[in-house]
Amino acid sequence: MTGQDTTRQAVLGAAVIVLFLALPAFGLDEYWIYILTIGFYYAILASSWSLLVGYVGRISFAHVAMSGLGAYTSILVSGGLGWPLFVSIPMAGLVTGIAGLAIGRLCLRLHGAYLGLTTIAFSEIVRITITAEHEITRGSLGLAAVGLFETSDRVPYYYSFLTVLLVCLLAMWLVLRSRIGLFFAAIREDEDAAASLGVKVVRWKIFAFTFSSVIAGIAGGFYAHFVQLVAPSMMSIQEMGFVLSMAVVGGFQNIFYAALGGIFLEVLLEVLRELGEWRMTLFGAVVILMLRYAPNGCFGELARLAFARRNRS
Amino acid sequence: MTAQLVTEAIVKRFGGLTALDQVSFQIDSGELVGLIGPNGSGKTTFLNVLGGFYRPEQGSAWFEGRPIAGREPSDLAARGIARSFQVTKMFRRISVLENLLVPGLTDWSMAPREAAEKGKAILEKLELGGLAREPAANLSGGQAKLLEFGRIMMLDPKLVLLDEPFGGVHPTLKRLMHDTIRDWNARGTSIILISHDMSSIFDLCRRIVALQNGRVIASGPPDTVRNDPAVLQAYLGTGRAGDPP
Repeated sequence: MTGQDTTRQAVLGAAVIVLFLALPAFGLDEYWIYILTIGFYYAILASSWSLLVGYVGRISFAHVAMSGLGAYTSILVSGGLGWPLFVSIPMAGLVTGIAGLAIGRLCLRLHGAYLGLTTIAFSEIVRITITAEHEITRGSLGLAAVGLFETSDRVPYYYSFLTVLLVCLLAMWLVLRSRIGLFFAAIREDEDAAASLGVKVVRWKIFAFTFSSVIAGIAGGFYAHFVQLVAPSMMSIQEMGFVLSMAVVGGFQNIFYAALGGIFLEVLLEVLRELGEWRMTLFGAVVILMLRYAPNGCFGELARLAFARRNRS
Repeated sequence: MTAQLVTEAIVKRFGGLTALDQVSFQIDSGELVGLIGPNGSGKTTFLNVLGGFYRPEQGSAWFEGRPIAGREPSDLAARGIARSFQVTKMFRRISVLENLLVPGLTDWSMAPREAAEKGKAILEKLELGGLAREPAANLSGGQAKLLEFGRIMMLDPKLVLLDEPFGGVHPTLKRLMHDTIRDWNARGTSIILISHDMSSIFDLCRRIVALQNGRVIASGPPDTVRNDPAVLQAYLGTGRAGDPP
């Protein structure tokens, strides 16, 4: 990518941000404000999952479990202990960070299918434990949470989630453009070569896993105080499939494209609501086709075509 | 001269196969040693032990007086041991210059700008300066081998382990690689060179160690090893002195 392309991408990104900032002011229906707010939540999950998969080359199916763990942590800390949300939500990030660190230390020496299967096992352990436990988590009934705001107006939530999304993207971007991002790329391309050149492969893989888990946990914390009722179903494999589809359709080799994929697919889910469960079949087929014919995702491919055309002219 | 690297009775097994069998070896500071032997003799396995990729079952290895057997490759790189690979391992989807920045930036005291300057100077020296911004995937096989040299140079190593660096390389690039190896060695860097290219081995190395079936069968100056009956037997199935291995 040329320096000009980077500038164009930055301008495009700024335009997208301005568009999202302006949408409520242009009288967007409250229902769609709600959908877009959920879209921002998924954008955080899809982009932080992409950081692990697209940049470090390590698969995880535990991302929504981390988000769920964050949601439950924040509810229990705020509701159970009575601590304020500005403490309980960072606590969500802290707990998922510790969980990510533990899983990372345990699993990240594993490769490919072994790592993927281990993260599925972790995800299911968390989900089933919360489902089976009734005293604290109320099992499958779910836990109620206080709202972030005392108003029923969706607009403050919309802007809060947009801000959290932008802060998370900025944090990830800063890491990725530092030397750590280069180490991630080296690990993704060839672990042995990276290690032989002094890159602490296991340390940086654990860092990436922990970092993406912290982000998922914080997203889960905010989500809990938006929907105000969380249940173990938010940690299901199907939910993980959604996040994966969003990242793949957006473009999992770029955190910004993956984030757009999260918003795009959440909106599309609503537009296609009449199709019922057939939407999932459709999404599955789209993911397979994208991986085969457009591994950069739809936004990645659009950007590639747009920049290639401009560079030719 | 003092021994920089010493191994004593290294044994490495893969299941029922003994890849290294009681290998004792040493290299002095600033020495350039060739490691030869037929396919499957244990040369690459030995380099993998020295580079931290394999943990030996028995024996010990010391670098500058400190044990290295079983240490992480990244720790050994930080202590000054750098290596190339038999099958070139590039970071294909990042640029040629970024390939060099990876080892440069593992030194946290080095600023990115400083690493970039150093990387560019090395690429110029290796005649890859014009390709700095190209994805590494676009390099030819020979250029990829040079890129591995460049990454090694970023580490300013004390000991370099080269595994078949001349395989499939055009003679012009090979000359550049020879010059680079001589230049490193002239600056005091020790080098262990594995190659099936005997003309390069005899041209560059002042001492040669021959392996067969995981055992050291000969060691000494090139002419001595060239005429060693055990080496001739290993390569040609004949013990006639004077036949080139």
